[in-house]
Amino acid sequence: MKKSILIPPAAWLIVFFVVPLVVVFAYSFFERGTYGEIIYTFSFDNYIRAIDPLYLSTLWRSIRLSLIATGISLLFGYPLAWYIASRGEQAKKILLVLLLVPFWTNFLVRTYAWIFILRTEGLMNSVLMGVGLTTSPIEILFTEIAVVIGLVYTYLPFMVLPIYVSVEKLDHRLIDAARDLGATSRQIFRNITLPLTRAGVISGCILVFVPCLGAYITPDLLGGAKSLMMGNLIQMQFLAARDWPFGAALSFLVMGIVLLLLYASARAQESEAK
Amino acid sequence: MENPHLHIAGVSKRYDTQTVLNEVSLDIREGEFFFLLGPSGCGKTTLLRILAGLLEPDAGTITLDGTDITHIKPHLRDVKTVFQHYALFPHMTVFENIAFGLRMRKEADSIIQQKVTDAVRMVALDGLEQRKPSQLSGGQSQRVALARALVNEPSVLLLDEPLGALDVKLRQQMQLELKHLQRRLNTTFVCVTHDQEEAMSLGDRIAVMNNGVVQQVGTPDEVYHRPVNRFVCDFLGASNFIEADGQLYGLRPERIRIGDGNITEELDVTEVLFNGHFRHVLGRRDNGETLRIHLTNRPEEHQTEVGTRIRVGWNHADLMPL
Repeated sequence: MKKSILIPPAAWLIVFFVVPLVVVFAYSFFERGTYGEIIYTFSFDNYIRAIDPLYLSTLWRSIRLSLIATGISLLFGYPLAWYIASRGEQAKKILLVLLLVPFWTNFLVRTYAWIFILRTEGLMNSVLMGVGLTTSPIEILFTEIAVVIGLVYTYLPFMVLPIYVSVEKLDHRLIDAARDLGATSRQIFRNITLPLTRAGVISGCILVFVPCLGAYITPDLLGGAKSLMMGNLIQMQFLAARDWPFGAALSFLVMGIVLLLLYASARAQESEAK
Repeated sequence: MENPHLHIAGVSKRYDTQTVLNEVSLDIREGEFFFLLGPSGCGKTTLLRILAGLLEPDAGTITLDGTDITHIKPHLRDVKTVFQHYALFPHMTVFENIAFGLRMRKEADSIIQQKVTDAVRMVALDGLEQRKPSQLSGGQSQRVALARALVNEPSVLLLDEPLGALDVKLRQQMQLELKHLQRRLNTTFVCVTHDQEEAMSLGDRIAVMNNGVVQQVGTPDEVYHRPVNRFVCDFLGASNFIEADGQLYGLRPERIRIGDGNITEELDVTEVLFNGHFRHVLGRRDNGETLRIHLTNRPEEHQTEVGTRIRVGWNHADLMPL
């Protein structure tokens, strides 16, 4: 293959990906002027400010909610992936398409739909009160629970797809062999199925956790002021506070955490392969 | 048979409208090397899975040493399987693969260590305990699969095309090893194969199957020399089919000789193929049928050439009524 055909994609990535990233990275060392302008003096002040308990609590909430959303996605996603993988060829195709159908609708519209479902006089409370599970409406909207529901709803397909692929690849004769050798269903799951689909589980967890950590629209619309996540904090710095250098520093803090996580999981899988 | 070790009675299995096994009944003796032989789709693998407990039959019973095990779950039966393509656990070492059954039974570590070491030695895999299955050759994988099943000391070992994935040389070597192992352990082996030579050279007895029905059960000699029908005769080796006085006979090509026998006739030689052991001669009879003849490597039989006319013969006893 000629190297020249790599020039357009490389140019695209450099202009629209590398350059902005470098610019933002550089900004994170500058200072905000009185009127929101950039003062070009080099310092680590923004990073030192970012680890102030005030901002760390938001970071911690982001990590906590992302972990919970990832955990719930795994809990729902694994059986779902298993179910899809064990259907016939035709049913499999239909189920996979159904899994992706939500992406055909605008993300913002879908998140607004959740407001209608979750709000006090919304669909969920009507149903709950209708069947007599509760007498007064439950406050869900504008809580962390609403954010987690929104995150799981949005990113569940990213958990299901990689697990589905690894379950699909699993050689079912190995399960027969384990059964034949005396393993119970639980032992088969722990000793054969889970270890052999681990790669899918890890990919799924990363694919859910990473975008959750940077989530912006979901906590903005469903979370309210008390469930602020890093995405909202960064947005506020760039727009409301007009403090680009601090927003840039916060962005790179989140990116650092994500990179560290990816590195650790890559190392873990590498040592396992040996 | 008195008190058979493994008693299969009227076992049937159906998928949708297709009958895979149709009232199969077999008695297998203790310590026997028993073969289920037949073409693909004849139901032999289905029967093996039913014996392992991985499938439930629609009808019929399976009795092991007098106990009905038809509906006993696989992990509770004293039957273990060597799977086709071995089905070794790719994420475990050779040691852990072999130890798997013992671990599932929660045996003590010292016992596991001892038994696995013995099993490893039995199949001559010493030194490979820490390898992963991806680092093993076909023959080594085969041995691991054997050890993994045998370490549990089953009273019946099931083998599904155990040598199918090996090349010819290795297969012949493993055949011998398998035979020796079976003799030494005196465990009942039930082996599925489509390879009639393998079944004949290893088996004490063979059940020939076709279309979900057992056609014949017997020693290799019996099924080869006294087949009960055309299918068995044809499946167990090359054969000519001759009609005489309204009766169909099978006639093995190696039983036909040059110019000799109770019955003789003349043939036009149409083809001669030499493969080392044999000279395969195809000759046209006067009625237009073709006879296949295997001539041995003796010099007096070397004269056969395409286009010549030869006189061949066989004895009455060589004809197998079908």
